[in-house]
Amino acid sequence: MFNSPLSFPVRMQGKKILVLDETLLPWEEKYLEVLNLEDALFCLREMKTRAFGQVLLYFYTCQLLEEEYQDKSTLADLVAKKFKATRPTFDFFSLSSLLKKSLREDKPLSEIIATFLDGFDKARRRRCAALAEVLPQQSSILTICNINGELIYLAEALRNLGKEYRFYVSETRPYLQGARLTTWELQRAGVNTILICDNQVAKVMAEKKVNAVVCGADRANLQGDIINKVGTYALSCLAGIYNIPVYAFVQYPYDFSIEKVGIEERPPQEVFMFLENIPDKENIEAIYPSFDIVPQELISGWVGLEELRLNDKRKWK
Amino acid sequence: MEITNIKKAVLFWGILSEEAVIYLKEKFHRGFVLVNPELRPYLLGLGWNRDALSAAGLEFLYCTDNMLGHLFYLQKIKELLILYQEKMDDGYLCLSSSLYVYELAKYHNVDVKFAAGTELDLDKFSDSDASTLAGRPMYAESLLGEVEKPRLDLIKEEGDG
Repeated sequence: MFNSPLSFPVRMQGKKILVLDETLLPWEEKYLEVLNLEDALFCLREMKTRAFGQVLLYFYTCQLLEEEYQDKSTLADLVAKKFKATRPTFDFFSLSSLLKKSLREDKPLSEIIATFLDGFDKARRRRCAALAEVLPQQSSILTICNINGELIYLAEALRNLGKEYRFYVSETRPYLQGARLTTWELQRAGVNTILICDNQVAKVMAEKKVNAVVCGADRANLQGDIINKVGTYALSCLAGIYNIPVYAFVQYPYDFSIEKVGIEERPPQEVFMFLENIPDKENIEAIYPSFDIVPQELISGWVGLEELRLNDKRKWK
Repeated sequence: MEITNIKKAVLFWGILSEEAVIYLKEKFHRGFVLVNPELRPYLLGLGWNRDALSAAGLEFLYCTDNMLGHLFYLQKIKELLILYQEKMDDGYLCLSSSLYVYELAKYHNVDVKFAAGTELDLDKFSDSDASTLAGRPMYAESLLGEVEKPRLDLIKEEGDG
């Protein structure tokens, strides 16, 4: 099956990092060159990459700056601090902790990072296989935003089990990650997709057109609460009302209070992305929370890198 | 406006009518923030509804439809006003996807009110589904797959606020 460029949207090439500019997809497949920390922060700030891309960007930025810092732990923390100041909802310090643990192996960063990412990708494929086992024989999966190629892994795993599948994709305003990225990569992989407006999710649930919701998670705590792209909370509430299971891909959950995480509010004018022809939009007062919180009681299963944990306490209508 | 500064808000959904604007004006003067959602695919929040509120001198707060869940979660929305297209024997025939906000409001114990909206021919809007935005085709057909067409929702009267 086709491998999505979004599976690894950031790559190291010699002394530079190549970042797939996700804001240009699906119209143009262009890679930006990152030569220093400022370039990396620009890519983050301007949403050129996100989700798994920002994980890759963090690691490769550390690798890029390796020669400038004798103390690699200091480097790992410094980059995490700068990244976190730019994208406050994502926990870059969990990445610096991971990296610092591996530094004890006394290997070059490039080797540590390559080993880590290889293991990570294998774990992603394994968890998709585990999720495929619990999904119905005829899976009709509703998703939001983009999970960096993992839905293709999931489709492949479902196919290997002889299960039928199709994906309803919520367009994910205002950046349209669902429409631009997920629909694009699934279509390229030959997977049956149906694009809907975000507000159509209740309708497709009420009409029993979907029988599972699968989403990502930018952060997750040990209790099972997650933070993900705005719209995930509404999707999860509605799935509960219509008795549809919600599975969230989570990585490295740890102990923290979800309510204490600051939900990033993007500049209001960004809400008018792709709406160039709307008159006087600069005079419209707007909000743009880019994430929302989904409490654990709305989630049926957490698809972790090491285990699939089902929730027997999910709140139903 | 930062979300933390919203103390109480009324969300409306549908095509504003003169009566609905009068109702919202009263709410506005009582300190409610008027949440004017985008309302895909038609973009009523940036077109018809924006014009209706502006003509009445009412300030509003705009957001995309998928942000409403977050506002419900934070208990910012105290009332939902659904502007229906037609009153039926067993409920209200409403604009596509009214079910989305109706179910969210009920889930969060938010008061739901219904009022007659303006009847417009939705086929005349430049966007009829998720494949276009503000009249602009967004994706090459080869990349698009199927697109689900929005249809009207029937919301039963049972349990109305």
